[in-house]
Amino acid sequence: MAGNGNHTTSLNTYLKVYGALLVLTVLTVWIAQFHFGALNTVIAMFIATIKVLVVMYWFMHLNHDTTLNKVVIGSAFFFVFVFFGFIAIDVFSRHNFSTTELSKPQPVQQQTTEEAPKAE
Amino acid sequence: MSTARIDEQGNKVYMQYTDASQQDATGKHGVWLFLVTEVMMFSGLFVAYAIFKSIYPEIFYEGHKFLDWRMGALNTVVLLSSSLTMALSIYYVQKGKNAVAMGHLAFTLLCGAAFMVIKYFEYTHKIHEGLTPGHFFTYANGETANLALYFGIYYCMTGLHGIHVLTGMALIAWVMYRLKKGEFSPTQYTAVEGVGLFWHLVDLIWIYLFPLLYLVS
Repeated sequence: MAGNGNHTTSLNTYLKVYGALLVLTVLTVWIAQFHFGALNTVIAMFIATIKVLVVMYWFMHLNHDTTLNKVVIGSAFFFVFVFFGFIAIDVFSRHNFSTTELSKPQPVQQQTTEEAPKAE
Repeated sequence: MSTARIDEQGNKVYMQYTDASQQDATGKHGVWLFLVTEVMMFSGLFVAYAIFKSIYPEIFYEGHKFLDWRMGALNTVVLLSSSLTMALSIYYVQKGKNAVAMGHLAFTLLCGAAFMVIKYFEYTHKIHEGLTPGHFFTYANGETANLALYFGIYYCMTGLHGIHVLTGMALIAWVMYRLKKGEFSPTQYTAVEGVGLFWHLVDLIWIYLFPLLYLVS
């Protein structure tokens, strides 16, 4: 880019990055056959995030980009994290959270109608 | 031509910019801001996935068995390869080798088409079995009561992603057209870089989608 000093990444670097991404893809598939319970998703997301950072840093040229653009895309990930965080707080803090309970139709809550006369 | 001038290097500079470098930086910054909105849009679907997966893990486990992970892995390799050639096409434009860059863009476009063809085979196979979204769902042999939930999320996420692949392909075709007209040079290639950023984002989203949809444990 003319404005940013016309940096170019070497051909060799691009090919190495591509190789690393393919290795990480194989790793994702290979590791999925083992059963670590809930950890499987965490591991898969961890590897995916490494791949994403690799693509952003070299293919999307964040290594040569301005601080402003790094902050801009970083903010996207920050707000996704906040989004997930608050949803997780909501979903997992419900006292009736259990897969068997929620698989059935939920009965209408009766507490509010019972408590209403006590207001006097 | 009244709104643009040509600077010493032959770059077309529009009147609101002081010079070509400011114009390029502004364009690229705009693309990054747009990518943020894209991430925000997809994050809604990812959050929906996270909520329903945590509540009904058994539905997701059953649903993923209808997907062939080899198709997903193949599509991952196709998209990663297209990302490489997209990055290389910018590399060759930077070097002034426009013909080589054109070849790499054409290969990127071909990879996008290959991705959509594989996706087409996956979709038609599922539609044939009645694994269709929403109330069109007619598959009756599900073990879990609400298998349609998984396929609702599957079609929304891969469908929105597929629309992005098609959009990216159209943008690459546009950049190829402009390259052919000789509009890009080693000092002027913001459009190629912007389209490249969008194409890489499409790849990034698939990197998350593949393990989430195809490799459920």
